[in-house]
Amino acid sequence: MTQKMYRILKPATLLIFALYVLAGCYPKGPEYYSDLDLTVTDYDPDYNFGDQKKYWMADTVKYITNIDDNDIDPGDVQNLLAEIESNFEMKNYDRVDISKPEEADFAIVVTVIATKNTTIGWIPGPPCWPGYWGCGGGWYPPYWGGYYTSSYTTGSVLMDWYDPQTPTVSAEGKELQPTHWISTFNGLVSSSEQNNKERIAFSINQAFTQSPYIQSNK
Amino acid sequence: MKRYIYLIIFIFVSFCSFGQGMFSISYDIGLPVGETTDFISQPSFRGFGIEGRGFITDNLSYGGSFNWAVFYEEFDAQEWNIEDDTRTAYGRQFRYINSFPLMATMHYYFGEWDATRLYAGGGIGAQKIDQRTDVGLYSDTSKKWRLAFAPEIGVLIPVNFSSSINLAVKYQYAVKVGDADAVSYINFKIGLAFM
Repeated sequence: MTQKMYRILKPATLLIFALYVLAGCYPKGPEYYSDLDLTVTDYDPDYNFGDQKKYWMADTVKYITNIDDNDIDPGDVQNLLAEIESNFEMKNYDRVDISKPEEADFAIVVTVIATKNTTIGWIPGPPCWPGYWGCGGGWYPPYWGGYYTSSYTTGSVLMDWYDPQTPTVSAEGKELQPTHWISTFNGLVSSSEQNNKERIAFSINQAFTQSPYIQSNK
Repeated sequence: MKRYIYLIIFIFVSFCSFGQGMFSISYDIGLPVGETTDFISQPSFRGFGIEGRGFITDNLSYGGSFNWAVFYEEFDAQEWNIEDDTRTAYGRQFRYINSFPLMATMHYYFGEWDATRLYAGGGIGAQKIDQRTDVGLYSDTSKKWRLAFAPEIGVLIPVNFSSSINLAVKYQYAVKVGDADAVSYINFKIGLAFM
């Protein structure tokens, strides 16, 4: 090997080694499902939450999904609503009978969204250069590469606070009831139902914790 | 990614074309300073650099350098106010900065070649900053090329006739662009230089 070749190959080898090591220690980010959980709340600063006392909430939720034949478990719905009711109770609000919405000062609407996302990738086959045996003929059966798919499901729980005494507003040609408080929980759905339930319960509690203005003075 | 491979090849070929030249490769540690610590305060132990230098005289060189530093910090779940005081988010945050400075450099050397040589110099060029915040399932990403400067001091400690240990400290500064704050960090280089 000539001196010049050696002069080039030595740093080149070190460079390849350094790149390999660096790529291996790239930060990995989130590790657990709960690392991707996010709770967001927003409120109307002109609305007096303390003046309200009674609220109406349906005994079911609005369920939106793109997954075929996927119904939400009624037991899970009741647990979810019970968790919300428990938090409102701690904030000194009372839930009215479901048949008497006219007695309520405000309404809470709960929506659950489950979205299945599918990604498609391609695993390439071996390089195919003229005269090179990797052109599908080197293996049996010949391997030309192929597609793979993976999917994940995201879930969201939304709570919206409406007050029927608040005048409606016009938007996009419609009369809409303004939302005074909105809470959104969003995360990845895990294969463990227990894990999902615990994370949803935690998020509902967190939504109330980070909304100190929700406290009835009556 | 292809463009970075081309850059590495470019610097490598430049080194090979120098009559009297030096190629160095280094492991880099980055320490964020200034406004950068508001985004990530943790040091980076993931970095490397390559550099080619050609000598105009025994004491003066010009060349090019390319570095890559990865800064990362994760935050425990906590409450964050978004935009205004009414919106609050709760979750973990994962923050990243990938810094790719590409510099034209010039250095001045003290002493003689057969002994340990101190050098001082710097670089001017462009720096690509990829800055990302992951929270929940969402990402906020900013990718911008910026004007950059990098004053540097270092020392070459001869190992044998054709190679030296290269130790250096570099202040890497990329200017503010639009809404994106300036990014600056001190880069500690531990490397090998080949003549």
